[in-house]
Amino acid sequence: MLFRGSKKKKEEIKAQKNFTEKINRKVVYYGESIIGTSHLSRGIVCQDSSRIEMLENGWCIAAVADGVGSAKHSDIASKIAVETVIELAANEMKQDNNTFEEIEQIFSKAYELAEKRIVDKADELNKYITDFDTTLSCVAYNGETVVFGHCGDGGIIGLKNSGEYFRITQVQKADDGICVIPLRAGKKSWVFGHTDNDVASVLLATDGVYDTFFPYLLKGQPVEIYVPLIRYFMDNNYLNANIDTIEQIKKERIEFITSDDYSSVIDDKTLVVLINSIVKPFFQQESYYDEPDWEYLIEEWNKKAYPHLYAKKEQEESVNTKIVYEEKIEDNTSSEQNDYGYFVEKDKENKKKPFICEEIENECIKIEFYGVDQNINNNEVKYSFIFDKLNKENLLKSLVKTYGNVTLIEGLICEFNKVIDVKKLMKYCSDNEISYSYTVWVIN
Amino acid sequence: MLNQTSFEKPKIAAMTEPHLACVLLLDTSGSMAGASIKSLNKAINSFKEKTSMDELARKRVDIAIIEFNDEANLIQDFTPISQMGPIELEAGGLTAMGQGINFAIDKVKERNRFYNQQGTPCYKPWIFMITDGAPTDDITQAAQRIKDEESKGTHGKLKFFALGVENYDKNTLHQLTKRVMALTDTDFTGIFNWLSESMVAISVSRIDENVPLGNLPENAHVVPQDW
Repeated sequence: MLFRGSKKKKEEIKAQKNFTEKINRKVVYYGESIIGTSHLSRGIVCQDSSRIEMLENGWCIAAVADGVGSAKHSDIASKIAVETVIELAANEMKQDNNTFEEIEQIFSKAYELAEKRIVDKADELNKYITDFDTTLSCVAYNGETVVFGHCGDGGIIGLKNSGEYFRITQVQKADDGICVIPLRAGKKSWVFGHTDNDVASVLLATDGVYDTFFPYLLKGQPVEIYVPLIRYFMDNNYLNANIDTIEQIKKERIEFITSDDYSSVIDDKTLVVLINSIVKPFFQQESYYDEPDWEYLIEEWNKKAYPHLYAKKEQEESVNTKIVYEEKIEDNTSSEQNDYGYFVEKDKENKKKPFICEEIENECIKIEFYGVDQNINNNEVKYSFIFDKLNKENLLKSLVKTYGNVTLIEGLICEFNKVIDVKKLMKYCSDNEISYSYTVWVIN
Repeated sequence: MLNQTSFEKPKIAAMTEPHLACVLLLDTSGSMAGASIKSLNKAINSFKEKTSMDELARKRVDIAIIEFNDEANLIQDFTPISQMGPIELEAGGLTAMGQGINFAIDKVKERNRFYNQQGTPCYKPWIFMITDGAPTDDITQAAQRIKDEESKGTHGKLKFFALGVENYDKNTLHQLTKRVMALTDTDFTGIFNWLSESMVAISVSRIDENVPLGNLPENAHVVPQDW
């Protein structure tokens, strides 16, 4: 009996060892906490902390914490927070059969212990507890599933095997959108959970770096995460991460976040990435990886933020189409024909001239305006029409009907508030037997 | 077809600019007529030029201007500092300070709600009030609102500054806020330079940072509360 029990136990141990070795080689990781330029310039220490540990049972645990900026001793608090989580989790997760719920409970216990240790430290130093505020985010990752804990800003992001990035945690801030909810806020604010078992890699970051992955201009867009940026840190299709390459990968990423490219982030920076080195995620459709159209997004944000400026702009543009009777277009062009058969006008200053309508000799009306002509490769053009004056009244009536807001002021001065559809104008003339001629200049 | 072999280091688009909303709440009652209103107009226009010289402030500082006389009026809605139009305020009428303060608080709360809805990070908003007299309306509710807003959360939801000029009423201003300053003359240039430097200092800070403000100009001083 004893012999059979020993043989079975030996077999079990051998199987477990093989399993552990395989798992251990699967998850690779890198991470660092770096002092921000705003702290350097003021002689303040780095208030971020981070720690990563690979367990024998194949789980990789990591924690990041960000000391709240205004809290004088938050660097001490963030260090206590990450060390407590890692030490307690490492101690209590020795078995390889922890369920996800058990790991969540271990994290919950770790958060309580971290909070207590921070309070004790504040008492020991005879300081206010508010001087020890910190955030805290942690994960346990086995190459497939992420078990997590979180409070505060910053957070945790996952990359699925399908190639899709997703937020694992939500940023926690007070109602004012400014104040951070710290660890001290207690159990009601702490969040624990686990993902499905399809996670290819996981990233933890404090808010300085985390916020760069979620520019607010992308809020409400189909893809709210800045994919071209984040994939550089956690997409194993390109990292090709393994135990031999991980150090070089880390070196390059840390160099990047401390380079001029990241100089707009003056806060302390912490980044931790855990990767399943065996998995290469699928690719999403090509547009998923495109650089967002920032100009368009900024313009859209500005329209919402400053609607009065845009209303004013539209009003000014309509005023700019008002004709000044005495104004003449300066003819300082070099007239050479381009490939389209139009005269090329190299006169950029005249681009902003208003719409002109004037009576010229031989009792004709000349109308000139600037625009973009789709028929000429979307080039900016200047049109000059000359109409038979005998049909002036009818012409103007038609323009009112077609474009609206056309009024006759002081004889031949008119206002237009809409885009001139040249083809419609020509068709009207043709249908109503109005003689006209026109010239088009393509403006370089 | 996605190129699976080449992968360049990304260019980070710095698209996480936080914003700072600041309301200039200005007394344009009759007593401000003459040299005071001229100096105020000049100082505001100069404040715009000076603050706009800083790249971050240009992107981050939004200014609204509210005047109060017989009533409170919005002179300029929140506008990027560099796009402020020229200001030509005129003085006349009474001093509806309570109305002005309530209006200003409504505007900054609305603004911060907008920022939050858009996910735009934002600094604690400022209201910078200038007055040369006593209110002609009831300021009780306004005073309570300032107290409520400044005591919310760890460090309050707004910062209210009151600058008194010439015949201002010290007790009134202390009823409103602990941040009371006064000018010894009607030259606003220095105080608006200070305001400009403050806006710039905040623009380059972290959102939750308590930014120390610079020294007041020579013709301005903090007015301590009486015991």
